[in-house]
Amino acid sequence: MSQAPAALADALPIDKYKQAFQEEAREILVELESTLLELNQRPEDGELVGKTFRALHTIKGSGAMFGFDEVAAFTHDLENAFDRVRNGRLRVTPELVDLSLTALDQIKAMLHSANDSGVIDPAAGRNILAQLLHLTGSPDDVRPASAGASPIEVASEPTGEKVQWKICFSPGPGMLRNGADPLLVLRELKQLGELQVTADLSAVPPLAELDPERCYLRWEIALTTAAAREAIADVFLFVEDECELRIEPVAPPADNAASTAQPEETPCKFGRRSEDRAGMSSIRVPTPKLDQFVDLVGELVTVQARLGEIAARAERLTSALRENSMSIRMLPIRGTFERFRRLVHDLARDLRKEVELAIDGGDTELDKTVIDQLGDPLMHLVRNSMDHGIELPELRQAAGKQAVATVCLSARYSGANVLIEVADDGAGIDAAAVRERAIAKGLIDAGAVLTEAQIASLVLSPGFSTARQVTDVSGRGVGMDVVRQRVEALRGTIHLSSRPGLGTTVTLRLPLTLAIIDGLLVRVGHAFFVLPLASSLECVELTREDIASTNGKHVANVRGEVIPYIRLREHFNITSERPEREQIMIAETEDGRCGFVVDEVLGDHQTVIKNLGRFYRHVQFVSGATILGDGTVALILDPDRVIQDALKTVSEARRGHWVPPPTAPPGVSNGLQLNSS
Amino acid sequence: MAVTLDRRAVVSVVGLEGEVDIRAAVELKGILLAALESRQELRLEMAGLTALDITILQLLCAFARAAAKAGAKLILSEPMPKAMEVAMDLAGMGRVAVVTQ
Repeated sequence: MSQAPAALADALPIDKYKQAFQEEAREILVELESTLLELNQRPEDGELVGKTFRALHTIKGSGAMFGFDEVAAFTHDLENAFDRVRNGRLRVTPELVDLSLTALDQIKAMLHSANDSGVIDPAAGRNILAQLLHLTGSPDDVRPASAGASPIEVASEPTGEKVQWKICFSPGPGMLRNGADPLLVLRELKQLGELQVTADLSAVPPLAELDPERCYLRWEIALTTAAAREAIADVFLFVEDECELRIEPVAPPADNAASTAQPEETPCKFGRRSEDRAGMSSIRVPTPKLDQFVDLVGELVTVQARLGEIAARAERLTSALRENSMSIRMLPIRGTFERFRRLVHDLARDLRKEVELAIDGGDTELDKTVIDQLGDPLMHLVRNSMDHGIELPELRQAAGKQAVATVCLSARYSGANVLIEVADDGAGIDAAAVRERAIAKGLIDAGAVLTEAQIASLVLSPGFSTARQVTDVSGRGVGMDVVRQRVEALRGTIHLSSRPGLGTTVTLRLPLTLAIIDGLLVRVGHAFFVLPLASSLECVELTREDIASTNGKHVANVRGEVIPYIRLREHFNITSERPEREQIMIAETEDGRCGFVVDEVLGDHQTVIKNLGRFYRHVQFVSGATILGDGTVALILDPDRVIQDALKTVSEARRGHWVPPPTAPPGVSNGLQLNSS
Repeated sequence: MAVTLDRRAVVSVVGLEGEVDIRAAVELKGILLAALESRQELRLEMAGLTALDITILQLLCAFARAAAKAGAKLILSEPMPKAMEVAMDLAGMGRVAVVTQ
């Protein structure tokens, strides 16, 4: 990580632009993919066609600008196809959409190979273009990329009367530095019709004062063309953010009242695209920089804990800074969700099922780290749903359901967590099949009756996925236990609910961020622990009398409610003396309310989560560690896992497998050393 | 891509070769300024120029003006390279063409 900023600084500016282009292109491609899939649903939607065309145009144009000539040439033909669609000369068919999607994959591969990190198959590209040619059926407009002509061309369709346009074009100060060359724009404009260009050189300063990387020229252009205003505006598509542009008809065509009634388009300063994007302006920050920033904030939080009381004011600042830095890391999950449209589309075709993807709560924001690692588990869940959950259309209709099934991806906040759901309206989990396999695997007795929760936990259990693979028709290499592991690695939990005939819902509960949480610092003997504040409810005292009154059972009576508790001293085998009065931290957990008995509650603590490292990765009840102001390490406990761990210990003790704490080596318990001396 | 300066007694020869664009603009400006210093005759050698962008046109335009102002004689290589011709035509600078002698 420390290498990355240096490498970035060393890179030539042009490489930086190339990298920026690749990133942007990838984003455009993701969006384009969704657009194409929508287009598949609504082939007549002109807006979608326009959007597709513009996206392709942008990739082609900026690709050529940054030296991705192959990408530009390849995209050109696809763009032409959609230009024909736009002009009503070609219809959107599922074949065209499918072919376009394949072409997008090819563009992605080309971008990838430009990084020396992948190989492309030129034959595949030629094949796609040949098919495209076959579909569009006109070799004049769509020629193979190998023909090698300039990619900067726009097919102009003589659609009607030639009109003269007056175009005022003055590049902004930053345009050249961003890699745009007005000459390319002018050349492209020339393709549209007869061009008369007059350069205004009056703003060019004396040589000594001239900034060589800034454009001082302005142009007045007279263009006589049959192309529509949109086609002219499209030429300026990727420079319009950085120039002043005015396009107006010189003499309004007599038979076209519409164009005179469009005065609103006349002054078009800094572009149409900026308007489109106003709602979603964003900044691109390299991840290493962000990580570094978050590390720094972490240090600051640690130092602040040392400053103690004096820092009351600094604390306000720190928390503001913390929230701010966290928000930088937050990204809407929509992008991740949208990517599944393609998967659902392709998979539905392969499985011969009819499936629609619904997305809800795409604006929900999650830590980038979480989002980055969520893709795979979600993909497995969606595949699972489509493969096993959703029935074939005939079966659905026979069951009285709509032939088209729905897979719904949704996200919403729940406290400091985000709930992500993958729901389908398929057949639900086949409880009988699960039972059968579980019996075969020796996981349950032949006569056992399973509850819904037990079925869910079987499906999620590690041994089970192997059994599925053997019997599975689809034979994917990944089972649900891998999904569970990935989600747990993100400090999340997974919940499965299924209703026969109605569908399955898998809910992932994930923390909003992995970096800093609000915690409650507690002490047991000399050991410090942090419990997540989000799940902490209240804190009550536990005296020796209380313990005596419950006959030594680990339950407390809190305002009439009986709450079980776990004594952390015993559970972690901490050997120090028990104080007269202890505290019970009551927390809301998956299994209901539960208490954790500690010596002292020290108060809330902004906790910078540090990973415990690979060596302790099997210690599940600890979600990380944090460093206190005085340098002491405090373990961050995961209440749910502590409870599960305790339940396991209890059940093992009942079966007689359990070794009671006194015989365990001092200070060692559950594989984790707690230095309590 | 290459921009060069050959200073002789009375003539400065500025050479442009290959693809010259914004990446060389800052260097070219330095060279043009240096060429202007106390020379009476300036030569632009562009026979090997294959491609250029607007930054170069703009610089040469400012250079021509500066030369005229300083009373220096500016000589362009003959014939004008194709790339230059095309670029000037596109940019609508045909009529602002630099003095050819």
